[in-house]
Amino acid sequence: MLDRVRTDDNRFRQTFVERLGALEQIRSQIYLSGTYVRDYLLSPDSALAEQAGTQRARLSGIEAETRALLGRYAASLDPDEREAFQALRTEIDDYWHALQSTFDWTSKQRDRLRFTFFYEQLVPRRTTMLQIADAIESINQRGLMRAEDRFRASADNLRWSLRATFGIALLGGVLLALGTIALTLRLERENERARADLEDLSARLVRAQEDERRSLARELHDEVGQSLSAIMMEAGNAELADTPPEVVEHVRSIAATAEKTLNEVRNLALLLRPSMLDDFGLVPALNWQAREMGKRNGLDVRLFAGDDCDDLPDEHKTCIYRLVQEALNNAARHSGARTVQVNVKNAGDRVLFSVQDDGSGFDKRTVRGLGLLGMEERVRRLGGNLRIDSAPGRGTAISAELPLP
Amino acid sequence: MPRPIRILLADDHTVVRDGLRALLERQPDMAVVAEAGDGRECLQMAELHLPDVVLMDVAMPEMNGIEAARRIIADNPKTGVVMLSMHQDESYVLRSLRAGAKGYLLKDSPREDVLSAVRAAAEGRSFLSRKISRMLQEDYVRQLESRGLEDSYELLTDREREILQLLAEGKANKDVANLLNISLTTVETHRGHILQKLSLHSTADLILYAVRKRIIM
Repeated sequence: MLDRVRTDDNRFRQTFVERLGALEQIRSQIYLSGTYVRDYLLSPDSALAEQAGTQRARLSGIEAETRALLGRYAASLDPDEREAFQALRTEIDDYWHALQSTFDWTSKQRDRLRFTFFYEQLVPRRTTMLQIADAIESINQRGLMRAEDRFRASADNLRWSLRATFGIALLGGVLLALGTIALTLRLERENERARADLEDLSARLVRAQEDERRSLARELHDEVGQSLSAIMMEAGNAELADTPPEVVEHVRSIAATAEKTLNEVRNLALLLRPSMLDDFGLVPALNWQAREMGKRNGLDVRLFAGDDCDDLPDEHKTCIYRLVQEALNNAARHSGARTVQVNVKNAGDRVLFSVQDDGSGFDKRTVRGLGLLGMEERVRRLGGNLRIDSAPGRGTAISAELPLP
Repeated sequence: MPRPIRILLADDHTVVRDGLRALLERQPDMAVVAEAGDGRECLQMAELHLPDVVLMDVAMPEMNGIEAARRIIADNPKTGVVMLSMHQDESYVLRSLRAGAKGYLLKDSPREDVLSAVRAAAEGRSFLSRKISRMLQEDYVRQLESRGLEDSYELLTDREREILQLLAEGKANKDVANLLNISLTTVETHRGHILQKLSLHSTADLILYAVRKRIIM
C-alpha cells in the first residue's frame, strides 16, 4: 500500500515534469519562430527569395515539432486545463497562419507591413500564447498541488489506517493472549478439580474399603464366631447327658468342625482388620501384627512405640497400620529380611514412623509397585510425606510423617 | 453343703448365655443369679445381686466387658471377674487382667476350663484358658530365641521366685505375708524388686509373665 502511494506520487510528479517540459518547449518554439520571422522581416531585400525558402522550411519544422508537442500534451490533458489548452491551440494555429502569410509577401508588401505585422500581429499573439501557456502552467501547478494534497491526504489516510491496523492487530493480539491465558487457566483449574475429584474419590474408596473391612471383620468375629462358640458349647452340653456313644461321636465331630471353622473365621477377621486397632489402638494392633509375622514367616519384628501412639485419630492409625502391614509383607515376601524394626513416635503435632528391614533392598528406579504407590497415596491424603530409602544389598527403610490435627 | 457360688452371666448373645447357664446350673456348687445383655445392664445387675463371680463377654454393646469389669471391681473388689472372649490376642488378655479380671477364657474353651475358671475366681485365684497360656508361652519362647535375650528369670532370688508365684496365682500381698510368715512391707519390697528386675509394671504384667514362664498353670 505504501509502495502504491509512493509509485502514484512518483508517476504524478513525472507526468507533471513532462508537461512542464512540453510547455517550456512550446514556449521556446514560439519564441524561436517569432525570432525567425523577425529576422526574416528585417533581413535585406536582396536575399528575400532565398531567405523565404529557408525560413519557411525552418518554420514548418518548428510547427511540426510544436504540433507534435501539443499532440503529446493533449494525450495527458487534465479536464481543468482543457479550455486553456484549446485556446492555446487555436492561438497557435492562427499564429502559424499569420506567420506563414509573411512568406508570400512581395518586397513592397514586406516594407510596408513588416513593422505593423511585427508589433501588431506577432508580438501580441506571442504574448497571448505565452500568457495561455503560463495559465496552463499555473493550472498544472495547481493540479500538482491538489495532487500533492491528495497524496498527503492519502498518506495521512494510509498512516491512520496503518495505525488503526496496528492498533487492531495489537488489540487482537492482546485479546488473543488474554483469551489463551484464560482458557489455559480454566483448563488448569478443571484439571486441578478433576485431580482433586479423583483424589477425593480414591480417598473415599479407601475409607469405604476400610469401613467395609471393619464391619465385615466385626460381623465375622462377633456374630459368626459367637454362633460357632454357641454350637461348640451346646455340643459339649449334649455330651454331658447320658447320650448313646454313637451320638456322642457325632456331637464331638460337630464340635471339632465348629472349632476349626471358628479359628478360620477368627483369623480371617483379624486379617481383614485387627479388632485391637479399634478396641485398644495402634500399638496393640502392631504388636499383634508383629507376632503374626513371627509366627507365619519367622520374621523377627521389633516394635518400638510409646503408649501415646495408641490414641491417634482413626484415619491416622489406620494409615500407619496399613503401611506397616504392607512394608512387613514386602519384607517377608520379596526381601528375604530376617529382622525388621518398626518405630512409631508421637511428636505432639505429628506422628513419625518407620519400618527398616535388613533384606536385599531394591533399586528405586526400576521397582515400582510393591504397594508403594498405595502407601504414598495414603500418606499424602493425610498431608504427610513418605520417604523410601532402598538400594540393592542395603535393605529398605520406609519412613513417613503425618501431621496431627 | 457350702453356699453355692453365685454367678452373674453377661453376654449379648442369648444362645451363648443359655449354653453357659445350662452348663453352670448343672453344677451343684454353682448358681446363676442374674443375666445381662450388655455392659451397662451388667453393672446394674452386679450392684443389685452382689455376685461372687461375674462371667462376661469382652465385646458387648453399650459398654465393653473390660470397662464393665474395671467398674465392678472398683465397686466391689471381692468380685471375681472372668472374661469370656473370642479374642486370643494378648492385648485383650493383658487389658482384662489390668482391669482386675481374675480369669480369661476363650469362648471355645472346654467346659472344664469354664468351671475351673469360675471356681478359681470365687477363691480369688487367676485362671487363663489353656490355649491362651500356651500361646503366651510360645510367643515368649520365640522372642527369647529370635533375639537371643538373656532370661531375666535367672536374676531373681529363690524368695523372689516364691513370691512371684504366689502373687501370680492371685494372692494379695497380705496373704503372701501370712503364708510365708514375713511382714507386709517385706512382701512389698520383694514385689518391687521382682517388677524392676523383670521390667514389669503391674500385677497383671506379673501374671502374664508367670503364665509365659509356665510358673503357673
